[in-house]
Amino acid sequence: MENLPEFLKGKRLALIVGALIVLLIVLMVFSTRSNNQSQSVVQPTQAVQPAPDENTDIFNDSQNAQSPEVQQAISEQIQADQEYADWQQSNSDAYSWIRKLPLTAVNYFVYFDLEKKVFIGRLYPKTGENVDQLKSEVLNRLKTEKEIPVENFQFEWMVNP
Amino acid sequence: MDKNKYQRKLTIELLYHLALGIVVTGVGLMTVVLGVTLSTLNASAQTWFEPTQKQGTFDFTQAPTSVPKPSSAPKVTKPPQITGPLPTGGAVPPTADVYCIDDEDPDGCDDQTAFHVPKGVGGISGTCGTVISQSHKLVNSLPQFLKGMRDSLNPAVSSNCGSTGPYSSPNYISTFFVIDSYNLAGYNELSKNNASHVNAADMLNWWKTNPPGYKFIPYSPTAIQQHASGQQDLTGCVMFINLGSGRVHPGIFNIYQQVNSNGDGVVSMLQSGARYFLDRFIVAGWAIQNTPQHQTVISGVAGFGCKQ
Repeated sequence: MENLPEFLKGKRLALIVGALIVLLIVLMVFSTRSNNQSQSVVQPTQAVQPAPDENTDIFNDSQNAQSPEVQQAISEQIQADQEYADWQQSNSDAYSWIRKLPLTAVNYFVYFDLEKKVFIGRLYPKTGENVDQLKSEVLNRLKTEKEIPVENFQFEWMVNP
Repeated sequence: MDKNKYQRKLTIELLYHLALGIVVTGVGLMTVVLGVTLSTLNASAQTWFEPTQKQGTFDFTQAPTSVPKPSSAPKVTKPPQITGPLPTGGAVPPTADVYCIDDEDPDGCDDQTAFHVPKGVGGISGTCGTVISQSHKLVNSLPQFLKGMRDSLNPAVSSNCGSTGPYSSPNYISTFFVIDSYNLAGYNELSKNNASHVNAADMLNWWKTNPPGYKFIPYSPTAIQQHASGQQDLTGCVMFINLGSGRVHPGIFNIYQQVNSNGDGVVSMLQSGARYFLDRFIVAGWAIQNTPQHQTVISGVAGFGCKQ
């Protein structure tokens, strides 16, 4: 320590301090690069990607500048969807109870045929079971549970052994 | 002279201590920076060297360049599930594993007689989940009013594979619902920027060409029977409905509720661009009813667009 002042005379101190500062800067740069590299390593595993901006449609990045062909296709599909929706609505208007069907049980399956406009009753009677009694049960359930005016419609029964 | 020498010595010692202080401070700063850097890495980044689920189940077993072709006699993946009489009940929260279908509209469910349709699970799966699970998420963002068109999307739906963005009415068309279901699951072959995918009739033709990794299953009662027996899972496949005008309306196959062993039941599909986000079709003896020969508006189920 006694020789220290002599040792540090002149430019030696400046050199040592300078070298330490340079070393510090190099270490900090290295640390920053390591951090960036670790992020680039995990990027391909999509599970750790940052949450996408929910208001950005990355599946359709040109949503506001679609090509004329895409705009035409969208327009055509809107018409197709409307046609389908009109079919849904017309069924609902004509047969307000249509979505209450089918009527199901262990030994029967009953639905409404929209083209024939008749009820189809597929019966699976157990051995010795009275088929007429089964039909009566079906009609009763349709009237009371489903509130369907069954007297206005015909029935086609299909009895399966 | 001695005084000057003493002062110089003091100055040098001061500089020495200053340099030492800078070094100690620098080392401390470096330690803090490294500590903060490490703490900000999430769990996946810290375990990047460990095999992930994606690597374990997808990358090493299903390379895109060697998609396994279905054999003529695929093995049964699940036993037939006959549910018996269809379940009913009242209103359920969006997080429930069933949809409650009211008599006239799917959002009512004001009594205990409404059908409960199970939310389909399994089926086609990508790197970000199953297609059907993404469809369920999309359904939650469709309009939830009692009656009206389900042709907008808000809020946007996201997965680790991306985000849909919000859509105003009537722009969230049925094909966008299909494309988003696949894109969110991790399949990017379908695009909302491709006119051939946006128009459902063209999308059907695209599928019929059986592009790599995809396959088209023409409708037949056998297709439903094979689904029920587990030979060909249709969950998450696109169900194409031919309209009488020649147009096409698509949805995502949700579930087949098989009531008895004779092939009676109900097929349901999820969709946008319609009055109901969930539509059900009667199946009698394995055949989908009220579609092909039985309707003038709906000319039939064309088939199912699936992922291999």
